[in-house]
Amino acid sequence: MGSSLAEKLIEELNCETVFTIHLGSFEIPVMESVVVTWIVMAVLILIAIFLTRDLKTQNISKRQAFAELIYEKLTGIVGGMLGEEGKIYTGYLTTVLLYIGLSNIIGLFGFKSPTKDLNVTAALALMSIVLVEFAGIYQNGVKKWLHKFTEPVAIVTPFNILDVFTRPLSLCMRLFGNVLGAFVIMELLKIVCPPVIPAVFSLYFDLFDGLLQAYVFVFLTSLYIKEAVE
Amino acid sequence: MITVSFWNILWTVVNLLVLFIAFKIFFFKPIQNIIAKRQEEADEAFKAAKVKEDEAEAKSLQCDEKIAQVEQEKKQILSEARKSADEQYQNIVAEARANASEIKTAAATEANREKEQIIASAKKEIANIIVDATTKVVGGQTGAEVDSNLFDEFIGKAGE
Repeated sequence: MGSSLAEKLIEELNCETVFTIHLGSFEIPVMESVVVTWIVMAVLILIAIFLTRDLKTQNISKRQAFAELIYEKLTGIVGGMLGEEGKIYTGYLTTVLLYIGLSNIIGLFGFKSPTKDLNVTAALALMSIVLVEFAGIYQNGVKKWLHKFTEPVAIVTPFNILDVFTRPLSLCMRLFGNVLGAFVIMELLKIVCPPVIPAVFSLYFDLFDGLLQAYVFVFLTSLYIKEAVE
Repeated sequence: MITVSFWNILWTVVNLLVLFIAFKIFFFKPIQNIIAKRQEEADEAFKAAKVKEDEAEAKSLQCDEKIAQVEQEKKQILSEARKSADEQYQNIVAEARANASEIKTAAATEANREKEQIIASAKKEIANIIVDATTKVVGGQTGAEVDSNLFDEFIGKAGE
């Protein structure tokens, strides 16, 4: 029983290569998480296209009202966290919020969450830190951006430099760990007490925690950007 | 999966960028555009309403002015009319008065004249009657002297 459970978990955790693209001398593997990401993207883009079909300025349809509500709410939340100077990054972070949110709960529909793959969260974190540093340089110029490492006092410079690496690492690990942890707990619950109880916990672990982690990821990234563009 | 795969990270980065661009094209841009357009329309409508309001205000002011002007004109015309009516009245009254006095004087002169005429004719008549009567009474003792004396006596008595 013990070994079969472990095997099952590992099998669930494994991210298999679905197919490989041969491009000249390169062999590009396409993993399961990438394929599921495509599904997530397709769903999001189709919903976006559906919602923004034939928009009007007056006598708007319920669909358009819903689209505008989502737009206003999401950009309001993300833009509020970014502050006035970081407003231009709202679009990207809102996209990330939607992507992580849907990726985290897509497990409910029988897919393997892409965010359960460390590479996906690593890529997300990588892009976040690139965006943060880019925002800092873009807003303040290289000189001031470099000078920021010595603030508030010169002695913290090593820690500030370390921050550039620890921040994405913590972003990446937090998201991955939460999704993985929730998944493991849910799997254990399903095995230990099958019928009703997992459904209740699933509400928390799959839905609430998934959306919460998406929010936390975006919140922290926008916090870093806000700090960088000050 | 805990192993790190370069390709997987690259795929995810590409996927994210594609998703971001797709969202920009299919979600953010259209909604931003439509909101901006609506704002523009609202601004325009507001501006148009403002222009109309200003126009209406100007018109109302104009009307007020016109009404005041008309009122003024009315007053003027009325006062003029009153003045001319007064004048006419005075004229008529004066004329009437003049006429009346003329008529009065004419009547008075006429009456006087008639009175004198009547008196004169009466004197003559009376004289005749008296002459007749005395002639009858005195009878024989006629004479021009007596007649004349008697006549004079009578006249004097009648005049008293």
